[in-house]
Amino acid sequence: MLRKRTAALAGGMAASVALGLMAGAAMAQDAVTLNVWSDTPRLSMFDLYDKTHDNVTLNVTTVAPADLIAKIQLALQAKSEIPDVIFMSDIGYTAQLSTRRSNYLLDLTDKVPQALQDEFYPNGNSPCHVNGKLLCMRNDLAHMIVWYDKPAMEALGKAVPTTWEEFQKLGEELAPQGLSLGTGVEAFPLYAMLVSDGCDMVMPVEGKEDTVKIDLTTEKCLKPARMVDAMLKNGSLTKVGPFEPDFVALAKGGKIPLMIGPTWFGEYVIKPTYEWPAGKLAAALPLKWDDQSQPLTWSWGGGTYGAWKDTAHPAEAVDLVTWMSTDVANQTAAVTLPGHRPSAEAWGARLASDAYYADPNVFKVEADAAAFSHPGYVSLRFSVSDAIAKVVVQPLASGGTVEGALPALQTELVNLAKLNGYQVE
Amino acid sequence: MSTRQAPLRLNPGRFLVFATLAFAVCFYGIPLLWLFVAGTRSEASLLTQSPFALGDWDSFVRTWNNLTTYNNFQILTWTMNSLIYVVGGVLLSLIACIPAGYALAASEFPGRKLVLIFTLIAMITPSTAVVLPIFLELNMLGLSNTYAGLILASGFFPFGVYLTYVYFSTSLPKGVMDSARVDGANRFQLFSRIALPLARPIIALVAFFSFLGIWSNYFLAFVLLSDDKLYNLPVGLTALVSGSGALSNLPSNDVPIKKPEVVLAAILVVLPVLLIFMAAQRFVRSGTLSGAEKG
Amino acid sequence: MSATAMASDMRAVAIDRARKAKQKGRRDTRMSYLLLAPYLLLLLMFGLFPIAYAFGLSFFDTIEMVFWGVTNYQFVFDDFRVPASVVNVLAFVAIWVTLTMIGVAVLSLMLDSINRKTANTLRTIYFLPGAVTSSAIVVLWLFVLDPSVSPFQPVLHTLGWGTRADVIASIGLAGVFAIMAYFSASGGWIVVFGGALASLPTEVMEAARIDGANRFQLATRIKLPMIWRSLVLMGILSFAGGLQLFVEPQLMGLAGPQFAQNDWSLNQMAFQYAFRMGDFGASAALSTLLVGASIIIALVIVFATKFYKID
Repeated sequence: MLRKRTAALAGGMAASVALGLMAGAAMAQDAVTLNVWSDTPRLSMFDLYDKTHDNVTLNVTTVAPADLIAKIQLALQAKSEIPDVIFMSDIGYTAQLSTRRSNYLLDLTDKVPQALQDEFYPNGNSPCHVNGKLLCMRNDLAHMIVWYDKPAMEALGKAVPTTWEEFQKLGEELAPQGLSLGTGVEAFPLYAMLVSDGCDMVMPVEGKEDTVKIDLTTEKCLKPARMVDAMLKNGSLTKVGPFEPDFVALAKGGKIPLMIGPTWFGEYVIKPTYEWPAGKLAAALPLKWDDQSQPLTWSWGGGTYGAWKDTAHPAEAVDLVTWMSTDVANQTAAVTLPGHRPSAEAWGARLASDAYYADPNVFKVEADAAAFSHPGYVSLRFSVSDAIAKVVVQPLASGGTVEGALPALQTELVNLAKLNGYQVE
Repeated sequence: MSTRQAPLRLNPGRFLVFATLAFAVCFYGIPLLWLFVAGTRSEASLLTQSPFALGDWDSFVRTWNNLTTYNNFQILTWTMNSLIYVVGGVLLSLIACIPAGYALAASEFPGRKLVLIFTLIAMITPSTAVVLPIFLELNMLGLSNTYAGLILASGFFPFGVYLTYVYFSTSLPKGVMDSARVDGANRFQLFSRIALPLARPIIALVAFFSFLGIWSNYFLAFVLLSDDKLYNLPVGLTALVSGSGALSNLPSNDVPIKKPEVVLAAILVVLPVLLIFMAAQRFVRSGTLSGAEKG
Repeated sequence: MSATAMASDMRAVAIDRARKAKQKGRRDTRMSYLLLAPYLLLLLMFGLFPIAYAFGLSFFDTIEMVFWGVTNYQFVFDDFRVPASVVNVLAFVAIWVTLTMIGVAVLSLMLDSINRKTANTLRTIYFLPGAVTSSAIVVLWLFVLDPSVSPFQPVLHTLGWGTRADVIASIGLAGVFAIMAYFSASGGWIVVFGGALASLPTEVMEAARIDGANRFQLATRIKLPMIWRSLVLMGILSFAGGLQLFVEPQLMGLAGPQFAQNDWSLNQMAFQYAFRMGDFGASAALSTLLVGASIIIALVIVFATKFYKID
């Protein structure tokens, strides 16, 4: 407490550099303890930091990812036990923890060197930019690519599609054989398809604070919606989600030769759940529309690290956040594709020699695809995918269509945006 | 079952009774049976084999190891914590509920009606409404994130007071009470000598319901505890399950907690309740709301 | 002794007795409060204070801590999701209370008419689902509602439902949540009513049986009226509890975003305001409205059943 007050005083008098120096001086005397809230998979990474940094001791608590915001609200209300550094499993948390009512996150814009920020993949940190400020650092990427069964596609004599038009045509050709190209009813894949042509489905407006654009009436939205409807109708997209038992049975039985999925799908869904044997799985770049010059690919997941704006040890907290997201030795062992390019390249080396994949270039595809990441994949205070699940997916079960649900989705999203304090254009 | 019960008297009415009861057994029992069998099966088996396929010993052992080795057997810590919360909370709720229910039932005094009304209101107040004030209050007293804090908060059990009140209102033998009073016994002696010996069934009943509530308490424990070393089983397991993505299907990690582990964890939580219920059933049945018919 | 003296003496005795009774009454009151003390302390700490605090909070901006009147209530009424969740909750309550009243009454009466040992075993089975909580509930229902892996597979297939989405679309979310709530809560009530029925005066039963009443008549004409008041009380409590619906829809979110129903019920919205948006004032306002409804229900119970009367 005393140290905090002194630091604040110093900060008032001198530049923030002085504050950093003071914190450094305090650090030299005794090890600083940082309170950290982590999810289960990140525990070993925080442990590694603790072991390799003598000046800092981490007090790590496992918090259920879904409960993170609630726990922080409580800590802020009580003004005690507020964590110095957190892992956020949902990219929406950044926006939700930087409002007037839950003002938690430390602004990292000037604290993380620009050169280091530039080492991230394009748009890798866009979920961390809220109203022009960098509020977190991305742990892992999760953009959508094409996953396919190489021997099966060869046996079918089909080329892997590169455009959505080819994708739809392939589905048409394969549907009569009882084959499908993934799901049409899971919120995130559906979301990814709907925004693939630049549909303004809650996109931030450049240069205007807390302003989003929502317009689902344009051809950019209607075209993908019609594609999904057609593919659901002829059975080339399934009416069950990718984790439902029916879908798992199809995927295991070789009825899904190709699907759109995030980068973590290969290692964590297709391999363990669909149990494709080694030598089958390969990846291809995301799809584009004929009239697009390059693909625009949405993401599904990806965690971030943030720090507390009133932490007593800002220098150490920032160091921990940067180390977790950019230390190559640490991220090499990470479970999912790092957002930090040098880390990712070290991480990806293992995929090249992994006999599980039918193609040694899986990592290269993932890395190249990162360049096509949708810049609109940002942090919002409300969940668009929840709205899609509620307004679009549920009516599909009782005979509705995606195109038919867009007006209702527009209303829902505009209402949600206004309720959460956004200006809607 | 019906044939064993009444082989000779099987008329349509009896048949309807047993058919309905058997239907209810299926409704309540089959999901539980499934749950217990599911603990022995692998993830793949759960998703693709027939609903009641039996698992095998190996997958059970694997599941068990995955669950117990997590973070140095942290589940054991959570179980111990749960025991502490349950023992403390149940004792406190008994100390609070039994005398209170007795006092409300056995005598008329100013403020009695008010206490009863507040008890009812507390019984039906949503926990989301009060949980933040409770948290701030205990925090102010320095009791948030302690064993004592959660025990205190979970010892408040208005439903127990209600049960005790109803029980004593009808089962206290008026004659005995009156003659004892004439003999000069005071209220406290009446309570300790006459009411308490009578109260065994209601003590068991309140203890049981309070046990059930505290053992499976999630919301209050979730709000009051922010140190994972103090978590109780439900909060700890939920953190584990939600962190591994086993249910939400965002399983982008190597944590070996999948659906079978979740099911096994569920069984761990349910099993003690089952055993205690079996043991306490005699009391629970004899004490239940025997006087609920009062007017 | 003169008549007047005798009268005054009698009066003195009467006054003395009254004083003694008053003293004893005071002692009794003190003793009652002593017996109540631990409970009253807890009631104050975890019942009254929190409710009062939440009520106060509902008129404040919780960041600057400034009084701003009914702004929080205005915010709640302006939220476009509120009318929908009112409808949701009422639909849920209607289905759930009906299910509970009929299910519990029928099963309890039937259990009371068969041999005791079997009845005890069955009651245990009916009760056990109440012990399954939190994440276990989610796994259980994820599988039970999915026709391809459900233990009730044959039934669901017979009804023509092929996927979980079919099941949910056909039963409706209100129905699904009502069944979930009934599954876990009704067993406890059945146990409670088992005790209540077992303790009905045996003389009445015997008399009715001698008069030639069969089991059905015994159940509907004698036992049912005797437990009717408790049944109604259960109905009202369920109604009040149902308004606070939270766990069932909230837990579905654990199963992933495609099942998330985070703003389905009013209580969930109160939770969202506080723990998502950090708007504890709006949350308190919505909670106050819900508590208000509960208080009205509590008062109805109290005055309709003369809950407070001592025989």
